[in-house]
Amino acid sequence: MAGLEDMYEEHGGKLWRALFLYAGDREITSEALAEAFAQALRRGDELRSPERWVWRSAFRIAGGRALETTAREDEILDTRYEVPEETTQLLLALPQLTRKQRVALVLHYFCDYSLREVAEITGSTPSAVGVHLHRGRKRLRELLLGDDDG
Amino acid sequence: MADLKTRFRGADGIPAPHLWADITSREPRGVPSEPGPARKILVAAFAMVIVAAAIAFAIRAIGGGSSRPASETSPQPIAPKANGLIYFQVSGGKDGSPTDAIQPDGSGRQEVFGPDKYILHVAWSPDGTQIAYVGIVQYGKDSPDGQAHFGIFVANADGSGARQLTEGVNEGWPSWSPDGTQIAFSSTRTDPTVRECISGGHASCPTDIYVMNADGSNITRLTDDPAPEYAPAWSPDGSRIAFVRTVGDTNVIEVMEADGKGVAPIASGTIAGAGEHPFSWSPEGSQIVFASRVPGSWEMRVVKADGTGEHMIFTEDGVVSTDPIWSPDGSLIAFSSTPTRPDADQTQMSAAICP
Repeated sequence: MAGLEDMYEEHGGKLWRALFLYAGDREITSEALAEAFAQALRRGDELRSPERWVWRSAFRIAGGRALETTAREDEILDTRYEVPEETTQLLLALPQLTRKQRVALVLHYFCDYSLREVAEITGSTPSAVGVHLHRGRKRLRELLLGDDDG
Repeated sequence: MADLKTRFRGADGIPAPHLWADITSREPRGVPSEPGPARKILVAAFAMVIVAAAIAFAIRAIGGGSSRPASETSPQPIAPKANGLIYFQVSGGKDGSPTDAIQPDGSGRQEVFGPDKYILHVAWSPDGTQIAYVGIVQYGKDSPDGQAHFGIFVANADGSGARQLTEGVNEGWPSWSPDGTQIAFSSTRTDPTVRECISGGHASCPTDIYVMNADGSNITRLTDDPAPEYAPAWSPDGSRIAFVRTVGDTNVIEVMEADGKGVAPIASGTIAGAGEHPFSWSPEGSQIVFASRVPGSWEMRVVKADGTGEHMIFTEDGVVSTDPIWSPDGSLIAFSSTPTRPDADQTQMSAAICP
């Protein structure tokens, strides 16, 4: 348990923000993170790579919940006092991407995971992640250009 | 525009709640499972049936819609002809980005390429029998330099008989010459130090315009400039090539002779350069339509090919309208339309009456 608690103290904040970028909803984000860690606690030594398992589980839980709802624009806009304007624009644009594009972009650009690591976390392949990244970047470019002032 | 990494980094400022007490006191409920193998196989088989049906449908529609025999090519300006299927990419789906086809009236939508088929920048050949497109040649995990490699491909209009013509990390935007003998495209191929970048509207992705024979031979560079040039499009009479050049935050539509000489600007400003088709020639070659950002909204604008007479033809509040394509008979312009609110519907295809 001490190992997981240390892991939470070290990575919990980053994982929460990554999940919020992905889901755009504080309740879903907190629920996914807490559930993933709680599951990891119950499984104990059964997990060979707890960190990777928690990240993957948290994104899967958030993905399942996010299917049932839409991103909370009010909660996204509440963050505008804590983040640069350009990041608020990004937060508003992300829900318009597919889930696979979003998770690939968040893990690669926000968390600095390589394509191979993103593939391990998402249960995909590096090549498929590469395609989602390419298309997601293209889509974001279109949306963010649309948010720039003329 | 700030780069993506900087935008994402800004999210480090979002305060995260401390949840350890909740974690240690809660009763775990479980993690959603992945679809099992049986379900995946069923989905794949169903997708194949749909694609096969769509291909057959596409062949009939293309053959019926063309005003000229498939084997005939014309060195003359293309006369307006019947409008046929519109191919477009679906980027808002949950499972990927398939390529669909639809009739100009919005009916008969069919999937042509499934979401696993990597397709970008689809361009019809002048006789409507073939398409050129950007496809993936080698995934990053398989390539020595760790980057995905893309290529210009030519295939029959139903996607069969694909032939790879080029390979590079930033190949894009193939465009057929009106007589069907040449293809222009953009690339960073002469500088192997350039890594995969966001081609189109991004100042750090220094693509140039190239032209090659339709069989992939005789590749010739037409532009040589540190600024990115991309999205070439032949004029309907084949004498000129228009393209987009990005200078700082400004995208400029320029036109040059087909041999690369005599470059001159046509329109500039906050032109949408990153889409599938930043602009489109009118069928008779006298005008160009493009999308542009103006304070408060986006506008679809038309300019004469000599750069005069620019005016707005369509705008809608709260909507980003891009990727205009002029119909072959000149009566319609198809474009994509994206509401800016995150809870709005996904991108929609729209069509406007041409003035």
